[in-house]
Amino acid sequence: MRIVSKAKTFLCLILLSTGFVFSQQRNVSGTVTDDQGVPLPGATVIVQETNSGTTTDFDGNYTISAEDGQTLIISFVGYATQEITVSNSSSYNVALQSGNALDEVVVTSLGIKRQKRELTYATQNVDSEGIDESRPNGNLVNSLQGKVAGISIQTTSQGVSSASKVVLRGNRSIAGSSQPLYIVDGVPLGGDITDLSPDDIASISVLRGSNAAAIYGARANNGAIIITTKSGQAGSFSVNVNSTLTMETPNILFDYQNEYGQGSGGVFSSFSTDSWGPKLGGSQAHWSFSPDISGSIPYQANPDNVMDFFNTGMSLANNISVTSGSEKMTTYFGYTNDIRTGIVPGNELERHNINLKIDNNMLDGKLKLSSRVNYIKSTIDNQLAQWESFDNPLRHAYRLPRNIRTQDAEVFEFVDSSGNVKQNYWKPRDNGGANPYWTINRNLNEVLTDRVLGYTSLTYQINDDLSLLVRSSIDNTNFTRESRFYNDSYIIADNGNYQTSNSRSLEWNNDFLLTYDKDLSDNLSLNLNIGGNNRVNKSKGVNTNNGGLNAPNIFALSNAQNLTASQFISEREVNSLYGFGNLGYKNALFVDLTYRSDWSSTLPVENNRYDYYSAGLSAILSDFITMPSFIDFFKLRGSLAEVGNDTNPYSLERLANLESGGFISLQTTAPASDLRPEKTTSLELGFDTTFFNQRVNLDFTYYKSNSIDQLFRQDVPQASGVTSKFINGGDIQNEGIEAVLSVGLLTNTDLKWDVTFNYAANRSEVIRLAEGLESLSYGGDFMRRYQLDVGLPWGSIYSRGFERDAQGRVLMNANGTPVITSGQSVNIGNFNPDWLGGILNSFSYKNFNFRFLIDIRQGGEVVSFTKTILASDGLLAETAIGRQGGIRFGTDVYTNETPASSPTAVDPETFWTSIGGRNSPAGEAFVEDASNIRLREMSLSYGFGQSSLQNTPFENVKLSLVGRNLFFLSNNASIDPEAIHGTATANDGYEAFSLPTTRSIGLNLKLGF
Amino acid sequence: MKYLFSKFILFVSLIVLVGCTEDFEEINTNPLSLSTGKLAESQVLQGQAFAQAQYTSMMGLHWRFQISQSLFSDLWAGYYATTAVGFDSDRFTQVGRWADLAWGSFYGISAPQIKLVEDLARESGNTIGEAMAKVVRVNGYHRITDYWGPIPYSQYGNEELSVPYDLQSDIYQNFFTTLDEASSALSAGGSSFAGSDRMYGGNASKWRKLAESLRLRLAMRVKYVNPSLSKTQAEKAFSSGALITDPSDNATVSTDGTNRNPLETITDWGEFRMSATMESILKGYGDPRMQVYFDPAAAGDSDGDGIPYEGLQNGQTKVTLGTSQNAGHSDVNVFYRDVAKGGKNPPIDVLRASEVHFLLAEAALAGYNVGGSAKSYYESGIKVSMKERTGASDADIAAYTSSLKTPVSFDGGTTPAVSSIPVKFNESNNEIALEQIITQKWLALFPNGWEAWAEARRTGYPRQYPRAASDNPDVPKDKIPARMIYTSSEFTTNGEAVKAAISSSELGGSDKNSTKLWWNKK
Repeated sequence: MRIVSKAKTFLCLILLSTGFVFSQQRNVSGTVTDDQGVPLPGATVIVQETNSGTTTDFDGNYTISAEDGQTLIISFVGYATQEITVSNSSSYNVALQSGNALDEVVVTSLGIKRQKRELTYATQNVDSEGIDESRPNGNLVNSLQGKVAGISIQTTSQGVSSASKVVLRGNRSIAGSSQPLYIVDGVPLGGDITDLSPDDIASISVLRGSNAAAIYGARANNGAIIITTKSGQAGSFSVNVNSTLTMETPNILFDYQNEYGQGSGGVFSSFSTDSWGPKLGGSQAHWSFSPDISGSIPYQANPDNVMDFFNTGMSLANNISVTSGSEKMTTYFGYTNDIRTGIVPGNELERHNINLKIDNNMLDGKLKLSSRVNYIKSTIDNQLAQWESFDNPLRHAYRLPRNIRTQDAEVFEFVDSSGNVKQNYWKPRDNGGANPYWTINRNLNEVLTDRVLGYTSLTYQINDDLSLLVRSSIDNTNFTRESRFYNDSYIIADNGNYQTSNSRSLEWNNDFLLTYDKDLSDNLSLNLNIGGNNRVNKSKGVNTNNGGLNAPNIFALSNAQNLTASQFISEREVNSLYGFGNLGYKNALFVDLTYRSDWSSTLPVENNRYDYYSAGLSAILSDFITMPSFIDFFKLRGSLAEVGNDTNPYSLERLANLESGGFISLQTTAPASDLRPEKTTSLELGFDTTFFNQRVNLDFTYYKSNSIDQLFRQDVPQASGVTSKFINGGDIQNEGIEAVLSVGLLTNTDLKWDVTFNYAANRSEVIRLAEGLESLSYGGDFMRRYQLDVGLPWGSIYSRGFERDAQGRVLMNANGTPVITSGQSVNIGNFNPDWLGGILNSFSYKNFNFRFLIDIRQGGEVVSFTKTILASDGLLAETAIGRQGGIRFGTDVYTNETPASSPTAVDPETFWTSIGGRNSPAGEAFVEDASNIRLREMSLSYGFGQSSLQNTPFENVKLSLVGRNLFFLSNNASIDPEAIHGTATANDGYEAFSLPTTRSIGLNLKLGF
Repeated sequence: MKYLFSKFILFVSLIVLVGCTEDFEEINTNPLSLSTGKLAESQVLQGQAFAQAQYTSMMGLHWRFQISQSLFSDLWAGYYATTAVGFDSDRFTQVGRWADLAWGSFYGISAPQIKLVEDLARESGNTIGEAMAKVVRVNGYHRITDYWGPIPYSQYGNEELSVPYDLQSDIYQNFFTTLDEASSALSAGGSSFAGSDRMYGGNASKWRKLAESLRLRLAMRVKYVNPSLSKTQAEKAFSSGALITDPSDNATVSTDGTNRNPLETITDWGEFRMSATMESILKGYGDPRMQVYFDPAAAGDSDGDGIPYEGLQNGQTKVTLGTSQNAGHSDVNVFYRDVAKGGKNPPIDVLRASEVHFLLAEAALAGYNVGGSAKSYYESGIKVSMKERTGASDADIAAYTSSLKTPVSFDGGTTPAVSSIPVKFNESNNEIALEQIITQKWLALFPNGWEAWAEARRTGYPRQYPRAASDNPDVPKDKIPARMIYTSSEFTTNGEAVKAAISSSELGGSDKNSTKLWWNKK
């Protein structure tokens, strides 16, 4: 049946593509410059009637096919948009007036371009310049850091090509994701954005609120990041080459002591994983069982042994793109090759990204057939395990005792007297210890992904006012992962192991959109759309585990000691119908309305539909009212939206799972008995203004959103028969302001200086959870748990803490250690910042461009699990205090705390092991302020002028020096608060053996032929 | 015309998109899982669920075993001392998160299965299967109430946001009633869940022996608090004629490569060693089980007694443990270690014949009518244990049972022996006889620390060396904890009920590791 349905959908596509008429199209070309005559590369030229578009090349030239009487819309970020009606000329040179950002063209839903002045909600065109130069080693999206008001980006620790966690306007989803939806060329991404090539990106705009959801569906209620990829240009042929070489190094590491080495109680022990031994001095400290390490090993400080572990990371990206086109067909082809090596040795990536986009204009421009295929093949070696996984090399590298020499640790294995290969480690067979060099060489993995993204769309201009778009798109990923553990990988794989994962995930969207666009009168314009979407998400996979190897170090399924396999499947289908319309009055007053109904397979059949809507108004007051002369433009906007959401597949019934070994187990969560769709309502008010002859632009937005009836798990008494049950509940409120201010400080012909400030403050509050439920905790481990408390901001971190008396003084044990609460009962902080800000300075002087971006995060707390362990290991700098004579709480350490009784001096080993360590650390003793200010980006580029390239094959040449994350201007924490170990909400504000964030410096060369 | 045509296409598209929600139910059905309806139809599937209940109620999975038994009762029963720096429970700190996971391992994983199988068997008229599930219920819950005292039992599975606790006295009364029902049903013979039952292959008469042996164990548990109930139930068990007296009837949960003996995995982690108490007793008695339970210390004889088996005093400080204690002390025998290193992945002990002999010995000592003398049962208990564990000859066993040897110093003379009782049964002093019976039962139970800790609390035997240090102000280093504190998850999810349990007559408002359980009344 479903196959038949799909067949019908395609039948539509085929039927629509037949039987149309040609008319007169020809090439129109020209040059786009600013008001000073300087060419503007990358300006957008769109034929209003056909929606076909192109961008200008490096010299500001464009060619596009258009008919007489059609309108060209020429726009560029930061310049007033111009419209030109094509008459009998074939060349139109355009000088754009700088300053009025409000006439920007913004790409909104479904790839539709609208003028920003019409929009009733906040959107920010991201300055994507340099995105193909700075190329973050981890994730493309990291290049938005500091540039979008209120965007919070945290990086995970998988090394090269890591997932990032992106949040706009605060966390809102208790059990699901609070991350925005990515839309590429009007099509939602099913997978993530990590592996897209920055070279293919033409523009990025960010819809911060949930107003886009009516068009993209519920997944956009956390906002949407809308990416438009490059297209070919009619009548032109150009070849561009872009090469970037980037080097990166850790930008922050823990502060280690270098006075004491391995041992305990001041006594040396070559077995010890701690550094509570005697003072470092010249004596012999032979710890190795390897016959290859002979002679004496001095018992001396090795201050760099942790830093030595890291490499200089390198990344080489090469892109070649070809754009060409005729009036009937334009083509963009891009190939990007990425080779990256991370700062952890062996962590490498090789990626091929091929992108082909073809637009056909047929039937005299009435029918447009667009197709894009993007094939991405990635190979990642040794993706880093995260958190306290025993195969996370950072767990072991950070814990190197201070006397261990790099040269000895690097000899990570040896052959023992029985001929077995053994790990060379100071405490053989330790549960949780390993030589980090063993881990990177003998706990290996390889991840292969093949991803195909693509769409085909047909747009038919039925008549002057009416057009129909039909489109089908896929995002399909095949994923395989193999893990190879060599024998003697303590505890996790004493007898070696081999694990594999194979999975496939698919997102498939089928859409239609009927658009009616008409100027009803001179003053009244109408745009009406009716659309439908059918979305299928499907994933399935198999994991295998050898359970040990029979023959040592042969990694094959057939060499399994105890092979087990598991399988997973997930499938969802959502059908939607929606309508949206915009009514404009005098091009200055606009009303926006949207309505959408979704039918989801994951909801109970009898109640599987949910509806949502939005309504908005924008008024360009400066067109109606006489404003003070310094105000050029003033627009007020407001919008209200309500978005529904479904739930995860298979959530309606309590099932039993079949387990390897022949067991059957009931699932432990009870389904919601009366499941209601989730809802988010949001209100947004703002204004966009331009002052002082368009030299100052200010966008300001106030918003408030409430997410109610969320579906989440509530822990219930385990003796009730289940450990948790799904319930509908919650009211999570986020309220805040966002402002973007840009100022043209210098606007000379030669020297220009623009500054853009962005600022955002979000206040969250848990208004309600569920009947009788005042707090909800989840995501716990030995260190902390994450909790929502009614009446408090979102996401408190709870851990053990100091027991205090009524005056808040810390109670002391007789031995001089503070009394620690028995449970994780102390609210030690909240990660969410008070505000986020960015300052982008951009200078240009003749052919030079210089930019730098300062990124500010103020407020919030972060706690480091690594730090508690390094403290109890005697490794942190502060653990060296008082090794002779002891330390007193409140005097020598924790001077900001007042003890309730005069503490006795305690030896630091007893002190730090009582508050630190893995199993029951007191998180309160390790919580830190997460505020920081950093130089996020800096770049200097030089574009060679036409004159200097006259006798070369090049049309243009540009050389740039780019730095990212160069240094902290201030940082109160001992870690980078941005580094997390996974994108789950509960990982906010929690560091656990994370990869240090890196500073990178790159050299970029762009050649245009 | 074209316009109309387009309208038609639009109409078709709408129908296609909206009309195909009819297979949504099928899409939202997970083909890899079972509905409860499917389970109800098939005894084979119920058997697989039952096997899970058997394995998990013994904390079969390695980490569940570690956080529930290895880190608590195994240490507090004095079998092992910890050598891992971070394991504070050997200094009597009840690490909260471990206890939370232990509670959750039973209530979250085992209890639902026990109820499921018992309910489905009852509903389908499978009386043998229902009786087997009841026996597993009694076995599982008695272990939990022996840890905590009052627990949710009769109201388990009420599907409410509050689940009341039952008093331990009421729970024990219900255990005996439940065992009556089970034993009666099982006495008809026959079998159920034959293909899946990991204990007796579905054999009803063997299950009846476990039911009656459990009755005997529980009867002796209440000896001090309710002597008449104890006597009645012990004699009832004996008179059933269906006790596990021969090792061929031992109750064990079989293991395989996937569902392993948890000890087999966790011994590999090198986090505990033979206790000083163990060394004192085994060495003093010249007990051949020493070589079967433990291995020589890797570093050889360190206390100068010429015997390379070395025990570690419990409760070492973090500073002492900062230097590795593993090489200097005896690991458990290779039999219990990783298969790849020569381990045997043995079945998991639930109740052994030797324990039954010692239970009967104590019953006889208390004057119950159990068809034999305390001495004869004591000696037969030793014999059964020796035979199955070591294969010792009758003569050797006879020499052992008549031996006057007593425990010795564990550190070559610096510290005195842990006790002065010999193996030879003392027929004149009942308290010494009791210490002998329980000490020998403690040796025979190894490695079942869960039961050994319960009996150590009830009787005070075997005597144990004091801990090197206690971090728990409620439990001094020369005592052992009397129970587990309630878990934080219960306070957050079932607060009213757990507070009511604490203020009940049995706990008297005290939720400490030193608060005695109902049956702990010696």
